Amino acid sequence: MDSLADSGLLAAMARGDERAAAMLYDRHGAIVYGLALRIVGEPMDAEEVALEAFTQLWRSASAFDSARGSVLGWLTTITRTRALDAVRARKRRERLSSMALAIDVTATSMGSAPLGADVAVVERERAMSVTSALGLLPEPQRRAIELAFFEGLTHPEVAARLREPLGTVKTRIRLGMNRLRDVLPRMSPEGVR
Amino acid sequence: MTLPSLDALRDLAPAYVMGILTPDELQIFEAGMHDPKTAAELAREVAIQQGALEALAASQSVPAPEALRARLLARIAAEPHGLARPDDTVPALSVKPTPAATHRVARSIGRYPLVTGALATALAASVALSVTLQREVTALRATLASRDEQAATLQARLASRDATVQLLTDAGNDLVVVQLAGTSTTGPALQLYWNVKLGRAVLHASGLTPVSASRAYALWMIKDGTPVPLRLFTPAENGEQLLNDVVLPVSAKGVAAFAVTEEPSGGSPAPTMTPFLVGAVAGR
Repeated sequence: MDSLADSGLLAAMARGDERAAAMLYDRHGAIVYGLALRIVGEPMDAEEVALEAFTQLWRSASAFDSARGSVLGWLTTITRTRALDAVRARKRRERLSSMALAIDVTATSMGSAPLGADVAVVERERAMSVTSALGLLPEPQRRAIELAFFEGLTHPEVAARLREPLGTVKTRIRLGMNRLRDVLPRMSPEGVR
Repeated sequence: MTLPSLDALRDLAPAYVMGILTPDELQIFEAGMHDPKTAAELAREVAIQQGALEALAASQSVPAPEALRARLLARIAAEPHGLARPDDTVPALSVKPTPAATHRVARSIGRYPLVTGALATALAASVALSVTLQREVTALRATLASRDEQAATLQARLASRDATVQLLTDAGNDLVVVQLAGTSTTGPALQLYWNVKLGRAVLHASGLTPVSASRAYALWMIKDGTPVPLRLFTPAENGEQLLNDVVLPVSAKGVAAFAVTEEPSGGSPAPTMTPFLVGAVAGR
């Protein structure tokens, strides 16, 4: 089963093969968890997003259509959507909490526990890697991509945030993504299948 | 509909694959995808942008916590297979609602009396709020269930550690420690902590090679010159194994040594190979 392509593993998952799910997790778990962590920011929330993403893939494996894209592409989209939903839900909860609570709670007590040393190191290494890849882009392209990809903002929202013309923002995102596609597979240890 | 230039359509491709096009943009882009003059070029651009998206995601790779894999496997084992949930719909190439879309809805009901519009808006808002809250409740319940699952796992692990410590400390002078080793000093090793008073032992092994599903390691007790099968076990992927419920006699009389062999997963009445780990019971 090791030699099966992602689509073969997904087909096995569609037949109920849990070993295939484990294999797919072994291949892409770090990408899914890392992407979720980048978007939600909290390790525990990122774990939950990663679990939800793979579980959804398990439930929906039979619906996969290779003509519409790769398994990793599908998994990326599911993860990103779930992570952005989690961030939005958390923001809504925080807004509700701040309205409902008259108690003055300090930011420290509301926040999460500090990251452990090992997590902090991994975080720092990941941040360095991404920074170096994105750092190859001109600042306006990098910022526009971060807002669109990691925060899920639309073109008009990115344009408003950056105070740039809409057309300029669209072109910057596309050119930046083209550049990343050329650069990132060479920088990532796993590359892209 | 008059389509914009091919370049302008191409500019929409990244947001298309990210699922963040506004309704108007999506309508334009999909028209371009179906127009014979632009369809092929846009399909190519979408494929390029999908690759870029995957590359960007791959660049975020961070080793996940080790326990996550086991949690996932436990969750999918409990999951009804092949039954997608309503919230499983993936907006891979979908549309994000915007204020502009809301305005269109408002305009469409503008010709009705003001009070009707207000009621419709209020109704729509309450339905949307209800749906949103329902989703959040569902998400919170799932999170809570997951936390409960984690807490139960930790409690079970803690209870197991407590049992191990108690087994060792209760032994007093009746604790027999046996070191099992092979020919290599860097190879696998095993320690057996035998509480003779209770007839129970803690086994700790390290450096073992993982075995296939049809095989297992077997622990033998050499008593009165005969190997007695005690316990089958398979180590974790890291080659470690910790057991705190190995059943042994309440007397060390006649027990000369312990040994480990590799056997079929169903076990064997007698060793089928020369033991690769052997440890003598001190003073026997």
